[in-house]
Parts: sequence; structure tokens; C-alpha cells
Amino acid sequence: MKTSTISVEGLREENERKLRQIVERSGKTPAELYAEREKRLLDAIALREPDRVPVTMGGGYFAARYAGLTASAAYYDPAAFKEAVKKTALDFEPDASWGAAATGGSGRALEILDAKQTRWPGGTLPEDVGHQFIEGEYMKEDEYDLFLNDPTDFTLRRYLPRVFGALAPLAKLPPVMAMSGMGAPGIVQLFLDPEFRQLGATLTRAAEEQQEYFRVMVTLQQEMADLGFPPVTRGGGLGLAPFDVLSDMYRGMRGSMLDMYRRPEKLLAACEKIFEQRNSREMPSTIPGLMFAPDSSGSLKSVFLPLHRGAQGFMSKQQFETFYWPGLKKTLLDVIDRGNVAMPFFEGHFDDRLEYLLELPKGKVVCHFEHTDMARAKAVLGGHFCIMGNVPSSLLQCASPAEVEEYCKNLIEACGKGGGFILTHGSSIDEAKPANLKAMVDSVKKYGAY
Amino acid sequence: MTASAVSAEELRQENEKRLRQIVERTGKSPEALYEEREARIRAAVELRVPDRVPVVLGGTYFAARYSGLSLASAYYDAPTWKEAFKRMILDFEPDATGTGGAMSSGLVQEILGARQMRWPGGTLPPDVGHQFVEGEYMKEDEYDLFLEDPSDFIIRRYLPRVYDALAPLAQLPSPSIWLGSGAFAASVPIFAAAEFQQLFETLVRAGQEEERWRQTAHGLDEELAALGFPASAHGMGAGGAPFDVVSDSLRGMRGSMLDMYRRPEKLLAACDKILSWRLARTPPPDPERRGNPKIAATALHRGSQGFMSKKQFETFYWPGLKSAILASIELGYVAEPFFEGRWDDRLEYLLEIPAGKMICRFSETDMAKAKAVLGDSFCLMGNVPASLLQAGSPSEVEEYCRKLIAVCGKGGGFILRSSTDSLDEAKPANVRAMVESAKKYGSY
Repeated sequence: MKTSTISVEGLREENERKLRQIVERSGKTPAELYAEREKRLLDAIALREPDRVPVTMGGGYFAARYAGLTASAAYYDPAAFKEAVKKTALDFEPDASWGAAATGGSGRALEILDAKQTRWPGGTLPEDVGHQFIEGEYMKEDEYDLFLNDPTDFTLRRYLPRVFGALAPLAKLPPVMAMSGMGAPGIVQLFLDPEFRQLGATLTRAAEEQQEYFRVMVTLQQEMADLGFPPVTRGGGLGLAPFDVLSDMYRGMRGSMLDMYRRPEKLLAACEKIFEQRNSREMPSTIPGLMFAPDSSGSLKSVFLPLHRGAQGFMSKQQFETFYWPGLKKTLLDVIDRGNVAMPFFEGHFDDRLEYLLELPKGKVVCHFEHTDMARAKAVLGGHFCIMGNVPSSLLQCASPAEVEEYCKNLIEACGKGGGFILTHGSSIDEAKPANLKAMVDSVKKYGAY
Repeated sequence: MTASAVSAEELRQENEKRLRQIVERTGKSPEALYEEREARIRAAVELRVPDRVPVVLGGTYFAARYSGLSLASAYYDAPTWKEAFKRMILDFEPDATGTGGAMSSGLVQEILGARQMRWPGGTLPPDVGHQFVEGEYMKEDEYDLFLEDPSDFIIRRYLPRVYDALAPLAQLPSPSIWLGSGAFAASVPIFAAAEFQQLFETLVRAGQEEERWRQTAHGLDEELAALGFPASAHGMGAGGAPFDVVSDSLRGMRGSMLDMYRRPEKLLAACDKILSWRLARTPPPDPERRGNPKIAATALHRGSQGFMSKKQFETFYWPGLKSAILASIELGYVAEPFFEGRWDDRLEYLLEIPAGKMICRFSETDMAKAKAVLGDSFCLMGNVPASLLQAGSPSEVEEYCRKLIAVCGKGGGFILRSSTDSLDEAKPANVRAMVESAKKYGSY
């Protein structure tokens, strides 16, 4: 990929200048601004009225583009990408930032591992195209029993070889239980094949690339805080609905949907297994990732849960009640029990199934909606949960600033009443016009005062 | 370890000479002798009357000593040790060859830092037989992990405890968090740690060494068959008692015995897990491989009288063992459980296995009682005491064998064998007396 024409140093200097301007204009230090913004968010989450409606905004590929980089910077040039994320926050001044949300880590590490389950800008996609997740039947229909009885064996010998070309040799291994030999050095079988001798070197190279990437990126949250911007979610990690794990990662949409008809018991048993595994282990509810790195600061901890297949467009209400909600509910309760606020992102439409959410404890969930009717969400959930949403990506990309402002004004009127509302975009903003985003962020200052 | 006093080449030439002598003396080819010997075993297994009582001889360390090698040769000098084993067989001429097992590469064990075993020339002096080192390699609170995700337990808990070199595996996150490729990629930096680089290098070295070892150590059964001697076993089939896996390898004797009182359900669930895993994966015998019948030999440890009550046996031991034996039979094997220790008061359980499908190999069990209870149903095998073979005189051994044949040989269905193949210290003259007694007193 080509090197960016924007220098990191140039971006950094510009960011410093902007921060000085903000401080001068507002007469407040970054720490004071941070506290003010965070209080605004915490008030909304706790269903109190803040001084005005808070607004959050992502960074990701929009930030890269906005700063004159390509989307691939998120994978290949973490130092510049980081400055771009900061620049976006400093220019738009939201109350909280989604920060590095778009990144999947080091592009070079993905190349070395020959990642198949994702395509990414500058790697297996052009430099300016956002990443794509490649669904497939990475778990075959006849592999439920192996997954249920010996999940790690499934992960090592079936799953990882399918999602990473570099790990293909693992598929040749005998079962781990057999390799253990229970007394004999069966593990050595692993390294009899010359292909395996490569494996260690490959992992080491990928590790070094990823480590370097993380070294640069890991300070982003702190650097954003130093500029006065809190993260939208922090500390608790990333949560997932068990059905989504199965559908997104293992069986694919087609597989999981057929399974609801053909092998519902296995499907439910697998969801239960996924829940137990993720919630009984030393890394509860979380998978490692950048923006989801553990955070020991004293602030409110929250867990981000992107939800996919439970929406109206994917399954009936009866299927939702059987296959999706029980696992999601248990996951959310577990997240809450561990002292977090749950931040599920309900992608798609959830209009006809909002009532289920009332089974969750008041004030412990922030419901982020994409296409759900926000007036209905406010009517059903208002007073029980803070809701967050949902300026359409299409509007931010294609409409005029005035149309965006109008949308936001109406949204604030419908949802802002009595507090418990956070304004944000409905989904990704990769192609949004800066002026439209500006209109969105500024609308709370104009229409959001309590 | 010390260098061998005798070379593989010298032994090979001697073995060729001996084979020629046997062919000359008997007037039969090795193939004909193989068939004759295997037919003898087969008749005994099928409860028919052979021409005479067959006799089996094995012994990893006896073979080494008999040729003047150190016991360490079985771990460090496979070519020489193999010739020594062949020499033992050619000199004593049993009807089938017993265990030449427990052979593994000492260098691989050294590279891996094996802790669950001590072996001659490695962590033991060159002339001391190997020892299995039991321990609580699975802690009492790890049953759930083993039950829910056995491979995770093996990789992150078991292997780091039984091999020093695999200790870094304990630092891995649970593979259960690798739900998507992103999660794996995000945890990949752990492999940059110096310990993991060291681990990869160690495993590559161990792999190369193992490959070298296999090139020299494999094929003994085929070589013995070419000399006219059938193997007495053709694999493990579905194995022995799941309880023994828990007790020997995971929880240790102390742990497993306490578990019978403190967490019987978990213990039984673990036995079930091991059993169902085996049942799902054990292949049928390889039809390409020599051997008729195909015999699945397994050693049984903790089910004997000395280790557990009959009631405990019935609860914890027998159900799993029975299922494993039945599975081996179903696959086409004749099962050959080696009932170590004493089984006098629990022989009746064995009658639940289909007649003619099992060889009951005994160590210290009362053979007259075994014949009375099991004689109509199963071939018996045993049980000349290792102590007698070590400390007795040839005439005492002969006397023991004569009586044993008189009691157990009646009507066929009996194979003479030492009480164990661990004949580390047996006198050659006594071993000869045992093998010869089958020929002297065993004719029908």
C-alpha cells in the first residue's frame, strides 16, 4: 500500500493547536471538559436530566478519511490513524468518542496469518474500502457434537485452520485427547510434519507485528482522555449474544437459520455452551480487543454488545423468544452482575420485540438503536433505560446539513424528554459528509438543552 | 547412559544364525512356524484344544539384560535393543511375543522435560527400570473444566504439569475465547514472548528427534513375524477401565480414592467422558495387519481387591471397563484385559462378557478359582510369578508350571505366561524352564 502523504507529526501539531483553541474558547482545562462531558453521559445513563442531551460519535474510517488518510491506515499506520481519531474528536467535539472502533489490529499480522474470515483495507481489499466480515459454515452441520463435547478441540483442529490459512496444518492433528497420550509424549506428533515447523515461526512473526501495533494503539484511550474526551464504553469488554456467535462466527446466516428448523436442540445446546464458556471462565464476557481493553479507572464500566440476528428482519418473534432472547438476556444479566452497564447495539429493527427488554433491571442498560422507531422505543423503554440513536448513515452521507439538523431536532424532541437519551449515528459513518456530522453534533447544543 | 557392550550388527548376525538353526532343527520355514504357533494360540482363545498349551514371552528389560545391554538401550539405542529382543525370542522360542513396550525415545523425553515418568539412562540410572510418577495432575476443582472442555484442560493444565518444556502453555488464554478470527488475532502477541519462541524451538527439536527414533524403533512386530513369531496383541482396542485413566494419569491414587467419597458424581462423569470419547473414535483392527485373531490388550490397575471394595468396583470400575471391553469385541477384537493384582472375589462379573471373546490375563489371582469360574467361557492366561522367576530355581519354576498346566490346561483354553512381563531381574534359566514346561507338560 502507498504511504500516506499526511505526516503524523503534522497531524499531532495541528491537534495540539486545536486543543489550545478549545481551552481558550471554553476557558476550561481538558480535565474539566472531560468531567463535564462524562457527567452528561452518566446523567443520561442514570435517567437523570443532564444540562443538555449528550452526543457521541465514532472515529474509524471516517476519521482516517477526514484527516486525509486512507481507510487502510487503521490497519497499517496506527500512529497516523490515532492522530486522525484525535483530530476528529477535537474538530467535532462530541461528548464521547467511539475511538478506534473500526480497527481489527495489525494488517500485517492478518496477512501473515492469512486471515479468511475478514477482508480489510490495504490487505485483501482496496485501501479505501471498509473491512468486510466473511461469513461461512466454519462449523459444519455435523460438528455440533464435537463443539459441545470438546470445544477447544473443535477450535484448534477445525475452526482456526478454516479461518486462518497459516493455521491450516492444525487440521492434520489427531484429537488433543489422543495427543495428550495421558503419559506418553503424544504432543510431539504435532511437530513431526515439516509444515508445523513453520507454524511457530509464523506465529512469532504475526505476534511481533500485532504487538507493535498494539504498542502504538493501546494509549489511544488515555490520549483521548488527555484531550478531554471520554470513551463511549470502557473497561468491561465486548459482549455478544450466544446466537450471534453461532450465526456470525460458526454456522453462518444460512446454516444457523436452517438449524432453527433442522436441529433446534443442538443449536440451543450450542448457545448454552457458548454462554457458559464465556461467562464461567477467567475472561468473562470479553474477547481481547483494542478499544475493549480492561480499564482499571474508577469510572463507570460498560460493555459493548453489537447484536445482529435477533432483529425483525432476520427472525420471527417466536424464534427470537426461543433462540435469541434467552441467551441474550442471560448474557446481559451476567454483564450487569459484574458491575457493568450493558450497551447493546440493536442493529436492524427491534420494534416488535422491545418489550422483552423490560425484563432487565432498570438503569443498567443503554439501548443503542439503528433502525428501530425511536418514538416507540422511548414510549416502551423511557423511564426504564437510557436510549441512544439513531441518525441514519444514509442521511449523513447523502442529505444536506439542514436535513440532518431537522432529523436531530425531531429526534431530540421525541426522545430527549426527561433525560435518558444520547444522540448518535445509527450505524457506521465511513462515507458521511463532515458537514452533516457537524450538524448532528451541533444539534444537541442548539436543541438539546434541558 | 553407558555404551552397549554388544553391537546391533553382532546381534543381527547371531540372530540370523539362530534362525537358520531353528529352521534346520524343525525342518519348517519361519512362515510355517508362524502359522503353527498362531494356530495354537487361536485354538486356546477359541476354547478349543490345541496340540499343546501355548506359551507367551515378553519383557523389555529382560531382553536387554539377557544380551548384556543396559536397560537404557530401550530408550536410547533402539536398533541394538530390537536385536536383543529378537535374540531373546529366538533363544527361548515362545509361541507368541509379549510386551516389548514402554519403549520411547529417551532424548525426546529429555527435551520435553517429562515429569510423569522416570526412565533408565534419563532420570534414572541406566540399569533401573522405568517408573511412572503418579500425581494430582488434575486438581480436585478441575473436574468441571475437564468435563466441559477436555482439550482446554489438557493444553493449559495437564501438559504444562507433565512436561517442563510445555510450561508456557499455562499462560495461554482459554481457546474458548477465540470465537472469531479477530479474537485470535488480538491474542496472538502472547506468542512473541521469549518463552513461546523457546517452546517452538523445543518442539521442533523434539519432533526431529521423535522422527529419528521412529525410523529405528518401528516395525519390531513385523520383524518378529518374519522370524516366525506372532505378536500376542494387536493394539489396545477401546482400552481398559476409564477409572484407571483418572486414577493413573489425572488424579493419582490418593485423589481418585478420595473422590469416590467426596465427589462420586464428578468422578463418574469423568469416567463417562473418557469412555464416550474412546467409543466414538476407536477404529476397527487393521485388516492389512497380520494377526488372527486380532487381540486388544489393556492393563488394568485400580480395580483389583487390593485397591477397592467390591461395591466400589461395581459402581466406579466395572461399568466403564465392561463397556470398553464390549466395544473392542464389537469392533472385531478379542479383548485381552490384564487383571493386575488379585481379582478372586470379582471374577463373576467377567461372565457378563460374551464367551470366547476375551482372554483373561491374570497376575496374582487364584488360577484354580479362575478356571472354575471362567474356564467354560474364556481362555485364561498367566501367571508364573516374577518373584519365582527371579528368586526360585529352574526346578521350582518347572514344578509351578506343571501344576498350573494341570489345573488350568484341562480341556484347552489356557496360555502360559509370566505374571507380568516386567521380568527385569529374572534368571534366564528360570525363564527357559517356564517356556520349556509348556512343551514338556502341556501336550494334549
